[in-house]
Amino acid sequence: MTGLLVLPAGLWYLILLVLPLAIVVIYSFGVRGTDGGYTPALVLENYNRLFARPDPFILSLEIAIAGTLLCVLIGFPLAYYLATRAGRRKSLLLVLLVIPFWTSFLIRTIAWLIILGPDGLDGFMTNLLGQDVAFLGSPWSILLGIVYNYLPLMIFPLYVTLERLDQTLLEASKDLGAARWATFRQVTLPIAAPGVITGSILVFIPLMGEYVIPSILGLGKVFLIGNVLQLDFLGSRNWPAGSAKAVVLIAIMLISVTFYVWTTSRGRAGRDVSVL
Amino acid sequence: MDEALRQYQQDLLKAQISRRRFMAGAAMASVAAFLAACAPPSGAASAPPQPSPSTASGGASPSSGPAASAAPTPAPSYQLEQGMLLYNWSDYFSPDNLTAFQKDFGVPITQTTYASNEEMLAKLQAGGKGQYDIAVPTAEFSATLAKGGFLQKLDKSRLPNLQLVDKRFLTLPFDPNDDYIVPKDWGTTGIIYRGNKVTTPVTSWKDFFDLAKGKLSGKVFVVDSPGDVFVAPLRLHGFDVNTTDKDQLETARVELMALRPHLQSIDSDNYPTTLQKEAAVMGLAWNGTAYVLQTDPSGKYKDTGWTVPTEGTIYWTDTWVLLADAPNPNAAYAFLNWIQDPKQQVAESLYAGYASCNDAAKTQLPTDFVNNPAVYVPDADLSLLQVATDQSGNQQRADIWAEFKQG
Amino acid sequence: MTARPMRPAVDRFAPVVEGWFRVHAGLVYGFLFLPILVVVVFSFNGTTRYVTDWAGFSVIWYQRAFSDPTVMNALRNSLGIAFVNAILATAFGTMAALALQRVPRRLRIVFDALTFVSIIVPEIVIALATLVLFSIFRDWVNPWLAYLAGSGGPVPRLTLGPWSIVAAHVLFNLSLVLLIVRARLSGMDRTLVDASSDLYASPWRTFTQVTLPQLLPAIVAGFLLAFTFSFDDYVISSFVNGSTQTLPLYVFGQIHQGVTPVVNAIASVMLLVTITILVVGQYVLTRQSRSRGERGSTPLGMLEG
Repeated sequence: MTGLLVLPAGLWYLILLVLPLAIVVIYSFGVRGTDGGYTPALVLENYNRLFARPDPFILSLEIAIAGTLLCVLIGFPLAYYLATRAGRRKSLLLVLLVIPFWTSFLIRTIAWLIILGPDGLDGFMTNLLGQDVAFLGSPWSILLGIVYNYLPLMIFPLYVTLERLDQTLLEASKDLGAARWATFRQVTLPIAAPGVITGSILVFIPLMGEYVIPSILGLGKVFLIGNVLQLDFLGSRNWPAGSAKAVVLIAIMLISVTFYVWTTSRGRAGRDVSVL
Repeated sequence: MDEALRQYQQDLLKAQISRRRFMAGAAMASVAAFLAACAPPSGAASAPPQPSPSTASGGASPSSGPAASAAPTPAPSYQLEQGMLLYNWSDYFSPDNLTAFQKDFGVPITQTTYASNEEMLAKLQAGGKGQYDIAVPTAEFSATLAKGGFLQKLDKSRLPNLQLVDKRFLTLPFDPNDDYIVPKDWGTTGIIYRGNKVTTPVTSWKDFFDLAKGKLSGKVFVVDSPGDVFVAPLRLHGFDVNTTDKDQLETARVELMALRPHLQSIDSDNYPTTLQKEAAVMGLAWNGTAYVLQTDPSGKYKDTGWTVPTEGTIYWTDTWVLLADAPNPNAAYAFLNWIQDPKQQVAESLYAGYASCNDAAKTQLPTDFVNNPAVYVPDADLSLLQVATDQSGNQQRADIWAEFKQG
Repeated sequence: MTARPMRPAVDRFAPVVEGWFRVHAGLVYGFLFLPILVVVVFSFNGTTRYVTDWAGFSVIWYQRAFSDPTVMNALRNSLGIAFVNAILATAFGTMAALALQRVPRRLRIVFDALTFVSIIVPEIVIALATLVLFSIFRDWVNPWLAYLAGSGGPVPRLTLGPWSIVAAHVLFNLSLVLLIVRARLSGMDRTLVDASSDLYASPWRTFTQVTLPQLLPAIVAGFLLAFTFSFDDYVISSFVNGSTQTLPLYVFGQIHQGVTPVVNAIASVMLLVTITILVVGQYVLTRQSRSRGERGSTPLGMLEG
């Protein structure tokens, strides 16, 4: 019975995850075909050229970390509020979080183009300061767009975890004379931790591969790892080069996330670790 | 049959084709029809009945199909499928034409879009044959497609309207026998600008680079297309736009990197709006937008200017091609022929702002369209135009472009 | 140690803190809905072509949106694909989450690793690799299909289309559901389950009457997220869609040479529809449950758990 339950997911993973990734790894050692694509080979050239030019990786990393941090900072208070203080309106507020995302993210990003652009913020600031202001196209507009689109991914796991926070624990802590901050640090935070971890991972990972929103809000001037992959696969059609970058990207993320989970889970009961 | 022939002759007269061209076309059509009758069917396994040699007398006989005598284009005699799958650039097909085709033939067109030739190529290569019926590559990419076996050779007997195409756009080096391509329109890559903000004359690539790095810094854009952007630095130094010489490309790289910090955006999609809002006032782009902005009903953008730089630039031809293993070949052929009808060509040109390759259409377009230098390049400047080849596989160019995008 | 209970000194800050939370929440919701407002307002823009030129109030774009077969086709596809994908992902993910409690440790670690990887790999990589896989698969299968169909009539062909998109989406979404449900499971009260089996309830009954109600919030949340991801997906769809058009693909195509308010009109209608469904559903089920004297059985109430 257990086997049957786990079979569909297992099959999906095997055929649509393991197999395609194996192909990518094999391709990464190949050579570009004369008109694009893949020619079987076993060379390290793609990896060598990659390490000579690591800039997109670094920029992606910076944006991913900054975006994740912002999501935590902005999302945590809201998740806490929803889980502990919102009372009867909790469900409504939760659904309200999701509703904006039933419009296409592209449409929303274009709306930000309007809000931040010459008709909106940029125009307003230019008139105000008398100088050409360009918020749009800067890393800040990208961070804004990212936080906007990834916030619910942070809030939902946080909410689910914080919801289990037993109010009596907080009251007990208060009764024992603990200051608010101490209560937060020693009662709330440890319970919220698995949610923070899950939320951070759910945000950080896709952020590393994100390129559509930065391209639109960065006005084509921001070049992230996702853009590089797009150029490799859809531009010069150099599949082996793109595959090598993809492999390195996966490796970076595996290492960073494993490290993150490991350091934050030390000293915690094993059960909570298996939230992953 | 006689009725059809008479109708066809009338059409030819209307289109003012020379007698010599007509004989050449008829000869070509009969040979093609004869060959097609003998050759095995290509395309989907649901093969249509073979054309009878009687069609060689010039034009298909409209035994079926709606309103054949009313429409200038003779209706095809094949069983049309239920739909037609078009793979096209976005916003590059007049919505009026889309509804008109459905009205005339009862076949709805489903359109999927791409943003660049390279993307189209990549998806066709990766996704295989049989996904779409018709694609719209720029001419040089059709050669790559043909080499990869992604295109079907055209059965010219089913495309009588091909006669109407300007000879200049036939027998291009990419497709010397016109086996594969049906020209769609043509245009140039050059400098677009807002006249009310750019008061010094912009006549050359040198002007472009100087202004971008000087007075107009931060208000200049380029399109997100390496094949077009490379033209500027290469022609600035008088190099061939298709060069693969390492040193020449390196010089281009230096120029591009010097330009990079002064750009407002690298963007093929939003630049019409950018120009409208004057977030940028000058850019390296394609000429269609100039016409569209100039003729905007609000009248606010009449000052939009277009320059074909004196050092020279490229002109390109976008083409319709019939893809191998097309699921709906009959509908596709009907479309390819119908789209060359002057009425459809006029609608296309006025919608996108690009010059038609079709001689007959040229006579039916409004005079201010034909005389607009942003659309039809004046004969005096024709010598400045070069044809680009597909350089997307050149590794050095790819590296330079990646570095340029990075900034 | 003294007999007198200590009065916490921080009580007087309570209203301040409460107020701060509310302000923060208000700001966040304002931030979330500002673009939505812009989208809706500009959907009434009477411009002829580019969405950012305000040219008076007009509903022509709504008319155009609904009479445009391309748009309607894209919308239908997106809805259908997202729904099927959400059902499959939720089913598979939940089943796996339940089963993983009982599998041998080694298998669970392998599964965890696979879930991990499926979320870590960038969409564009998955998209491409999946595309190659499908095309290889198709190149093998189609000749066989042609052979089996013989020489009479049309041959069934395996092509990229809605099902390839669903398959690719389900991969990511089932991992999502798996994570959410497992997180919920790990915090669940086992005593109820034990009590149930002590009272001789069959495993199935225990599941439906004890476990499932407690899991429902997580399952519903997972379903909603899976639906949303699929409906909004651009990258994967752009690679494995074949000739199927989805709404994000259509919108992205529209970005070229200026977005027309058609997309705004569609987005606004989508919003209206989803809000209406939610409100009506909530109302109907509240009345039902009230007449039955139950609490917390409404769909929104389910999210409270």
